[in-house]
Amino acid sequence: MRIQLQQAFRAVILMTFVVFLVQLHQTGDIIHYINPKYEYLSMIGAWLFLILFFTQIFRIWAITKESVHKQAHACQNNHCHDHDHHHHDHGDGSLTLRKIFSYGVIILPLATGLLFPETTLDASIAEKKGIMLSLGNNGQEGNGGGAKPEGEQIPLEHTEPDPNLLTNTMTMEEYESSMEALRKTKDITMSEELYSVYYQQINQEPEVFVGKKITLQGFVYKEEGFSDNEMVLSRFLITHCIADAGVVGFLSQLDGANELAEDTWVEATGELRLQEYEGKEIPTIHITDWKIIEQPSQPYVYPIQIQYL
Amino acid sequence: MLTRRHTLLVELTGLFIFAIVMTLLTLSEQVEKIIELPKSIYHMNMLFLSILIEALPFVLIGVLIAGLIQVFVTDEHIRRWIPRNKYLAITMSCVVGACFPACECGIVPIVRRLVGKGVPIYAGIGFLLTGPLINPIVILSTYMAFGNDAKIAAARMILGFVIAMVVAIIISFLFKGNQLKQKFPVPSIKHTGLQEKVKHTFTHAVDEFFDMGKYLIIGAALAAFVQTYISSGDLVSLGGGVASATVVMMALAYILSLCSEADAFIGASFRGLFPDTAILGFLIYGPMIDMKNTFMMLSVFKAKFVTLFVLIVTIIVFLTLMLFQVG
Repeated sequence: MRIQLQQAFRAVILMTFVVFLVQLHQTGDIIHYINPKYEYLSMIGAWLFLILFFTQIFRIWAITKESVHKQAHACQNNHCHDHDHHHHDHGDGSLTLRKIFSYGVIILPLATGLLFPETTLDASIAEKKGIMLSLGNNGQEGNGGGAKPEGEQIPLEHTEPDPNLLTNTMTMEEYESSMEALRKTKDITMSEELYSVYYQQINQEPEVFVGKKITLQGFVYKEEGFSDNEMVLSRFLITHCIADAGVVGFLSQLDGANELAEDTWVEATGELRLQEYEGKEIPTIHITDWKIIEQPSQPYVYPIQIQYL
Repeated sequence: MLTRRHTLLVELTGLFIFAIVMTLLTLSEQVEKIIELPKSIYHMNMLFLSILIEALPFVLIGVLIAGLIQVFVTDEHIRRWIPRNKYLAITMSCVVGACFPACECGIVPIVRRLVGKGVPIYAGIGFLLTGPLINPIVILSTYMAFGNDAKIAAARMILGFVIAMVVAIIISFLFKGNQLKQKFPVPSIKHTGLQEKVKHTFTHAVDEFFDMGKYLIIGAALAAFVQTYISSGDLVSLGGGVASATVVMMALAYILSLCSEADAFIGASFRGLFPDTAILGFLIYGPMIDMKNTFMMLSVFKAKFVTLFVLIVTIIVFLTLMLFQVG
């Protein structure tokens, strides 16, 4: 009976993937990487790794000559050229530089995942992603007027510690009644789930909301060319994973905005007005009241889907 | 076949490995406190991992399907299923791809197996191009991201399909042979029992994962690097006219390497800046080819083939969009 060290090493890698993914779920840190709506997908990933692990551990021990041969055969058949050593070697004889590099690459995400601390996307990423995503958002012409906005992907804020409480979906009636309420109210609170449903609506027909009072949370982001009293109160909108994050936010006017550092989380109240920015009329907030807050435990917002049926 | 002693040994090994991994986990928590690196590296790492966490389930499902094909589908099946006529075969592969809900990472191992089993390269390419682009989830998410405007979603599907057909036909004239990197040996052993077959399916899946995983990881790392250090705003400022805007959006789709099911919102957010033709460039080109995907293809096909393939797709997507300017 002999041990196939490379096979054992592969089993360790597969198990580490399982443990890494399960740990992310257990601690809830998974929401720093992906939209909680798709958590189940990464859980499926963890299960598949586990199944592969159970397959793999049977390859570690080769009992008889026949089985060694059979395994080598299966490998050849599958064309994993790196297993030729099964024929004659006792183990790692053919562990070439190339193979070490391959394993190094596979281990890389596990190593950085376990060794590096988690961070939240901030203004430096917003700058690379381009804040024009948010400011350009109102450019979705062709949709204004009588268009029906029911099926929009609408950002929905999660500030609850347990994002599973929020389902990311809304029925048509829920959506319509919240839009109705939004048009009527004079005092908009961008709170909890309704935050981002509102965001989309306000950007679509900003003229309806001019003069209304609005309260919201966001981190401070500034673009080149902003004047001393301008800043953007922004959030990241995550569709699947943070790599597809887009920046959403309101251009805000506040005397002394230049003293607020980027990435500061602020809760602010102000009046909605229209302002020209790079040739477009966009909704802006003239802040009257504000305070610095801690970063919310769930800093990102997610699009929600309207259930048509 | 397995003796009881062997089974026990395997179980103990499994437990032992679990113990090793848990120890590593504990150790890593200690080490984590010691290391300190610039914040941008940590951001890059977060983006890198999030791409992988998102893609891995699809890749694993892909390698399992590839394993199933390897074990259960014989070369003879393929010969019977694929039409002799080149154009019929291409049409069929594009239609099958359109019906098959796949993403661009999961589909590469599947295509590799199919081509290895004797599917002509041009049919494999048709399937590879339409699979991630045309499927219910992509249609729905595009429809919603563009404010219930069916025009963009429809144009994405129809133009995408036409482009896939054209590319597959061009490939069929340019390339003979399967273009796989390694010669694929014909399976010499017949798996008998179902249990054996299932076991081999999983074994193949493991090998496939280790073979392809490293390319996915390199692709994800590069995409994360670009997102962290290169400003897409600079790129966007280059796009003036329709043609240059389309080129810019295609380039953006390539380097961002978004999943086809998640790119609609990002595409929609550029609508204020660029004409719809350029947005379509982003939406059609991205699912067909991106940085992550190029690396995965390099793990399967010859480098020369991948280079020409990327070139052909790029040119055809661009020309088609210029011909049928929308909006």
